[in-house]
Amino acid sequence: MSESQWITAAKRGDDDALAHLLQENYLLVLKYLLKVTLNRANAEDLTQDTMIRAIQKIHLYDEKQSKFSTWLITIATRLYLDARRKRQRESTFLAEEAGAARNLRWQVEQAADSWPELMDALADLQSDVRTAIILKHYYGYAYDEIAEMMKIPSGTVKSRIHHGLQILRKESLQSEE
Amino acid sequence: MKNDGNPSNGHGTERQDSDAHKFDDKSAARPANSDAARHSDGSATQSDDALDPFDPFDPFEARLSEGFKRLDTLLPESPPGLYQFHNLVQQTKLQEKRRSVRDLVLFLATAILILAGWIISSALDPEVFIQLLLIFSALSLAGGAIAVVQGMRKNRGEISQ
Repeated sequence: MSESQWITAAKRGDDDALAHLLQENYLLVLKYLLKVTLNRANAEDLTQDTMIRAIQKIHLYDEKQSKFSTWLITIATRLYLDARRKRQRESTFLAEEAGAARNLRWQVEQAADSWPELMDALADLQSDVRTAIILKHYYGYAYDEIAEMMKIPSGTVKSRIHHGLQILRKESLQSEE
Repeated sequence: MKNDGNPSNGHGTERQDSDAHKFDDKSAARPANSDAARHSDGSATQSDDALDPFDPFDPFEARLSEGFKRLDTLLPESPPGLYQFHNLVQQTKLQEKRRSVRDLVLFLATAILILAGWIISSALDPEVFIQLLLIFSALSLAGGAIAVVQGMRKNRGEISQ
């Protein structure tokens, strides 16, 4: 069966088809959210929430608008940004996020891998800047698509990415020296 | 269904073999109608992006990609079993159904309560009933006007952003 057929069946209410689609895209969403949150526990929770939201809203998915994976990435992005906005009010948030990035670094190093210094700089960026950079740089979305995902104007996306990359490049040069 | 990282799928070209995983993620998430998806070489993804600072041969970008790939190594290679997704789908649908029934019951109960209140008050004291009706009508009109103004302000705010 093609993805289109799975989607049609899922929209008709076929649980097996929907489960299959979610399983196919689970790792994609989890990997994306790990890069964005830099926190494995949060990434797993948000992935679960993304799956639930997709089940609830599958009837609204329009195949002509975007690929199914893109639709899931959009849901995941909005859930992450909403969650962060809510939690930003908590004073412990920033410290918690920095702690999570340190924890990831430890886990990578435990796996006998080196941790690129650039990732520390990425962790220090604001979450909306980091999200835009990841969507553009790693997933190759156009500015307009990122703007739609993040519900912000395209110009804002451009300037955030530009500014974020300037910071990262600067950090990168400093670590080289 | 599953993306195999084959560049021949028309969504982009793998930069190098070591980037296979990166390509997997990227191509799987590529939008069907994007400019990028229409380019087969994956290099000229956004022609309108004047600020696009990405250079595939830039060591900075290579390091960034490398960092992302390290993160992926922390995750399992395969997703959970299909039955777990099946359970999730069924549980979510069941909860949705319960929530809908609960909302419907709540709505009907409230409507019946309000209707009964109106009927009783109109039968017991028609004057008070008419006064209350006028007060509620005025409040509803005021509420509607406030909602419209708030909507206009919100739209103006979004446009000026």
